[in-house]
Amino acid sequence: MTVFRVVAYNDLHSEDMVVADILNRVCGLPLTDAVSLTRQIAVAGRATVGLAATRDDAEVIAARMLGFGLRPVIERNTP
Amino acid sequence: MTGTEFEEHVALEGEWLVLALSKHNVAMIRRAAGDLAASMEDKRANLAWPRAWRGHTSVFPAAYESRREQSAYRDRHDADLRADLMAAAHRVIAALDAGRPVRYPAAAADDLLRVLGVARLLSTRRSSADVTADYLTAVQHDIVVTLRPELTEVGPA
Repeated sequence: MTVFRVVAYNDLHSEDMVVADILNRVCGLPLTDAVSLTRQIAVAGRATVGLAATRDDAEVIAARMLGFGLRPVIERNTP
Repeated sequence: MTGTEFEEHVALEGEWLVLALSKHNVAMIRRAAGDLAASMEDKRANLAWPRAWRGHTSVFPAAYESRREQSAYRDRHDADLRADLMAAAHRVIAALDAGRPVRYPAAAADDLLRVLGVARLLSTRRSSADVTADYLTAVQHDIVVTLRPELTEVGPA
C-alpha cells in the first residue's frame, strides 16, 4: 500500500534536462517517465515523482533530490 | 526552471570531464563551493561559531509542510546530507585549485551537479536574481548536455 508520495516542485532555477537526469538516474524513474514528469513540473509547477510504502522510503527519495538542489515535499497519500 | 545560457566549453575526454572555464568563472564556482562547504558545517555542534551562525542551518527547502515532521526529518537525514555535500564540495574545490582546464572524473560528475545545485540555493537565498546562481545553473546544464546528449531536447511539450 502506498502511504507517502514525493512531490517535486518547480524550483524556478533547475534546467529541465538536469531535472530529468536526476529523476532518471538518482530517483530511479524510467527515462520516459522522468522526461514526462519533468515537463509536468515545468508546466503545472509540481508532479508526483515517487510513491512509497514507508516514510523511510519516501525520505530516501527526498533526501537524494535535496542533495542535488531540487525541491521535493513528502505528502501523505490520502485518497 | 530556466532557459539561461552561458558560453562555456565542457567536453568528455576519455574518463574525464574537462571544463574550459575562464579564470573569473573558476573563481566564481570556487567561491560558491567554499560557501557551500562552510554552510554544511554543523554549526550547532561547534560552539566556536557565533550564536547567529549556529542557529542558521536551513540551507535545504523543507521536505515536509508540518514543522514537527520536518524537524524529525532533519534529525534523521540532515547530518548525512551535510557530510556528503561537504565532502563533494571539497573534492570540487581541489579540482578547481589544480589548474585550468578543470578536469574531473566523469564517473564522479554527480559531485559537480550536487555542489552546483545546492550552492545555488545559497545564492538565491541572497537574491532571486543572483548572477552566480544563473551561472551555476548554466554549468550544471552543460555538464548534463555533455554526459547525456539524449536529454538535450527535454523541455515543456
